[in-house]
Amino acid sequence: MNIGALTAALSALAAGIVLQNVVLARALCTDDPLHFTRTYRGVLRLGSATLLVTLMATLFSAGLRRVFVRFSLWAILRWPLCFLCVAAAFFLLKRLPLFRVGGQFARESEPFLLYVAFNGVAYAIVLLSLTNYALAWQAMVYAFGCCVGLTFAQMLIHAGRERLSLSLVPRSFAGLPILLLYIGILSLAIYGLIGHQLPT
Amino acid sequence: MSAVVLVAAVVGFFVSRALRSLGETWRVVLTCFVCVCAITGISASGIFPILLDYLGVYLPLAAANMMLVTIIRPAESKAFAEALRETVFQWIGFTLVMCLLAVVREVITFHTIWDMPVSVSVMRIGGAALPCFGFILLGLLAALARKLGRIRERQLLARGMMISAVRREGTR
Repeated sequence: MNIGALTAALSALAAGIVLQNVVLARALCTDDPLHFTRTYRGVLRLGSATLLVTLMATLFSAGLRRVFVRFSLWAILRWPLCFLCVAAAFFLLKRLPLFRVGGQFARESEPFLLYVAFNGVAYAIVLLSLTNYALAWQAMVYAFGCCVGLTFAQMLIHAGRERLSLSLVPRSFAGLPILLLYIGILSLAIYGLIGHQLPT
Repeated sequence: MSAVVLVAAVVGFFVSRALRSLGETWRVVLTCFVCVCAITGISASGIFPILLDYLGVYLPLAAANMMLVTIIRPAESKAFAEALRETVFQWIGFTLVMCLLAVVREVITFHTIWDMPVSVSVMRIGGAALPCFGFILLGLLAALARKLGRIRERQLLARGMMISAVRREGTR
C-alpha cells in the first residue's frame, strides 16, 4: 500500500472515530442503549455487535454500488438498497454460528444485534460511508472508525453516568436530565478539541 | 421532518397491523423497509423538493428511526382505535417537542421564529445552533417537565387529602 492510500485510510479512520461518534451523531444512540449499557462489558457488547453489522452491511452496500452505480436509478434506490444490506447483514449474522461458538461474551452480544441494526446507527454509518467515500475499502475503514468512536463515546458517557450517580444533584435533574447536560457539555468539549470554533 | 415522521408513523402503523401474524423481528424489518421505500418515493416524486436539500441523509434515517419501533409494539397488541390514537399522540408529542426545541434554539441563535424577526431581550448565542446545545436544552426541559410533574402530583395529593378530610368530617 502506498503512502497516499495509507494517509487516506488513516484520515477515514480518524474521521470515523472523532466525527461520527455517538456524541456528535445527533443522538442516534442515546435512547435505549443508555438503558442497555449499564456496565463497561455492556458497552463493549454493543460496540462489537455494531461493528459486525456495520462492516458486513457496508461490504454488501459497496458491492451493490459497484453493480448499480452506472444506472441513474442508483441515486433514488440507494436508500432502500442500503437498508436491505443492513437487514441482510443482520439475518446473516443471526444464522452464522459465530455467536454460539464464540464464548460467553459473543453469546451475550447476540441480543444487541436487532437493536443496533434497526435503531438507525448501522444504517446511518452505512449511508455516510457510502456518501463520503468512493472506494469500498475506504468506506469499510470509515465504518470501522465510526464503530470504534461509538464505543469510546459510550464509555465516556458510562464513566460520566457512574460519577453522576454518586454526586448530589437536585431531584429534578437526577437521572436522564443531568446525563443529557453532561452529554451536551462533553460534545461541546469534543467539538472544541477537533479544532472547531464556536459561531459568533 | 415532522411530515416525514408522520408519513413513516402512518405507513408503519398500517404495515405493522397488516403483518401482525409475523414475529417481531420480521415486522420491524419489513415495516422499516416499507417506510424507507415510501420516503424514497416521496423524495423522488419531487412533491417536496426542499425536503431533500434540507435533510439529506437524515431523510431515510427519520423514516427508520426508533419511534417506528415504539409504534410497532402497541400496533400488535391493542385494539385498532386505541393503537391508532396512541400513534397519533406519539407523533403530536414528537412534533411539539421538536417545534419547542427548534423555536427556543432559533430565538437564542438568530432572534427569529421561523425566519420572522422577533424582539426578545435575551442574549444572542451563536453556539445554540450546534447539536451540543440541543442536548443541554433537552436536559433542562426534561428537568423542568419533571419539576412541573412533581408540583402537579403534590397538588393532586393535597386535593385528595382535602377531599378525604371533608368526607371524614361529613361522616362524624
